[in-house]
Amino acid sequence: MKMYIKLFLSMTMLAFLSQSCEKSEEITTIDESIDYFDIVDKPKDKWNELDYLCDSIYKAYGTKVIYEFTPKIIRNGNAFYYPATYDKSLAYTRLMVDKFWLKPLKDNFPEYHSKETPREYIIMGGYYHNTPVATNQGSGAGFNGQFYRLGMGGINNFDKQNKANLHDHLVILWHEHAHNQDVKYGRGPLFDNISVGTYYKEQWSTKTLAQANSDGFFRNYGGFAPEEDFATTVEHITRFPENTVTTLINTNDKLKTKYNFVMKFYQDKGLNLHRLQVLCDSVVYKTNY
Amino acid sequence: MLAVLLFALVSCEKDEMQIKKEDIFASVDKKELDLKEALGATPEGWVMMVKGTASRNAYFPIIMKFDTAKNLVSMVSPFGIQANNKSTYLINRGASGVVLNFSGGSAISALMRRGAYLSDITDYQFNVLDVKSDTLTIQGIRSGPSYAKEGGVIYKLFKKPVTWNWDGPLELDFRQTTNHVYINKWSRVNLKNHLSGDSLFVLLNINPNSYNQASWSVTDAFLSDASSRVFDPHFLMNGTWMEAATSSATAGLNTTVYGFTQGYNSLTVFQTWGSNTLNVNNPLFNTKYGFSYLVYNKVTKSGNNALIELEAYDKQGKPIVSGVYTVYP
Repeated sequence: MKMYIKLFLSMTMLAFLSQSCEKSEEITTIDESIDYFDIVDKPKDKWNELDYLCDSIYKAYGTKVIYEFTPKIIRNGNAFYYPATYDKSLAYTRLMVDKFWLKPLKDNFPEYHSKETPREYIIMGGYYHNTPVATNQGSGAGFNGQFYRLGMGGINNFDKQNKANLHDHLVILWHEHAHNQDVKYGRGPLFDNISVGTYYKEQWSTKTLAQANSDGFFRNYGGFAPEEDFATTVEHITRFPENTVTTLINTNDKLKTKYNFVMKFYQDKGLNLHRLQVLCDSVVYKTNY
Repeated sequence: MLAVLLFALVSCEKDEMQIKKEDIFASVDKKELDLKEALGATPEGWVMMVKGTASRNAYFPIIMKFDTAKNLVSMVSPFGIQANNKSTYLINRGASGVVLNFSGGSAISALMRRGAYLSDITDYQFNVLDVKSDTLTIQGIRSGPSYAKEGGVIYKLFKKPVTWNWDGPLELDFRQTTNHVYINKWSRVNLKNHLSGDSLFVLLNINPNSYNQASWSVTDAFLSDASSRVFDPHFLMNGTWMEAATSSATAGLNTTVYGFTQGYNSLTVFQTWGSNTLNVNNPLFNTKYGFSYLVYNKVTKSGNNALIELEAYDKQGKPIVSGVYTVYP
């Protein structure tokens, strides 16, 4: 009996105590209504010249150019990327984003533009780094893991006098966008089966262009893995005139199959890659800026 | 039973001490407001003393001037010169409170990228720990590599001391050949070390060397990659440095060539990149003399002579050495 009383007493005590503790548990320091990592739009009275430019680009093309890094942009614990300087960001956005990328895209492929253009475009001073200090191991030209967001690096090197670099950057932008498209739709087993079992993996950089071409890759980096194979195929057709591409694919059946696959992949969505090549070439080499 | 009771009581006692969330949010709001006010109320600028690491064991000042109307900040430092040193900043809310975020490319992101090779900066986003009218205490969110603990070095920013003048217009930019009349010949540098009380008399001959070019030089400490290319390409000069016995001695006691780069109104004996003689000598400079840069606190030009008042600072911004540079008559 004594034991029962003891037990009863402890139960009551416990119940009382746990109830009184429960009350304090209601107090939490997390306010669910606040998204701490949200991008807070700057009030208009704080806008600088670049903010106005980004706003007009957003209104015209529906793409938000992000040049300032917030905790939301830097989401990944093992990724390191660094914002570009203000003056380079401004010059880059004006020329590369607006004149070279979005305007020709919307003017020439309005339907493709409205369906397939990333909603966020992030510009980085350097590249995408997997290391915190000054080594370039594991760096990427851009990032493209989500189909709504594209990022391009190297903006601190932007120089509008260097047309060859501008053209290369624009073509790489389309390479990164190809990853977006791959993520969104999937290149599928048909593409992967073309070169299955023959990828170079980390040995890609030891291969020459001629070797890569004869192995069925548009360049050595395309031999790294299927996703880069897909993106470098897009890149090659965007970089070189149609007759140069035709000459190359006639030397190798795998190249021809990949070419046909990629051309159809884009054509089905409303983009002719040969026409895109002509546009990229002409905006960089045949316009004044 | 007693143990259970005691345990339960103790755990409840903690709860009584819990802070209400309204109080927390109010304190975060207040901190944010205080920060905005402090930045806005200090047109002379805030000073962040950044510790050089590796062979640069000295504190480098970065003077930051905040334009709170447009959220822009300009920075000057002995690390280098920027033709356009305007960058953006934001005051964000992080999970742990107010974050001062140097959101655009700046000296801070450049130094972060170069890591411990150049400085102790490990992030360009800082948790704001404390705001007072004359000091801001901030801490980098990251401390270094991936998965390293949160929280880097804690910096106590202070208002720019009234005796500091080197953040004015750019003087003696040696990239301009018109300013070469003040170098390329023997000059005297007479310094006083305020820590030891010793005087240091030096005969110095500074020559722009063959590394100088408008494009990125292989010797530039910020060359490594585009992420850190925020400063203009560096301007490297060979400085032939001879200690002398007295302030008027005409012969030196020993000769060493150091590499001087241009900071903002300053000469810096800085880390260069790659292997060269300067990179052997430069790290020894700080070990020997206890400073790594000299700012031009005042420049007086007369004809082909210039009198430059020089200073270097400690962690609190007090001069550790001061003196003058004059062209040798």
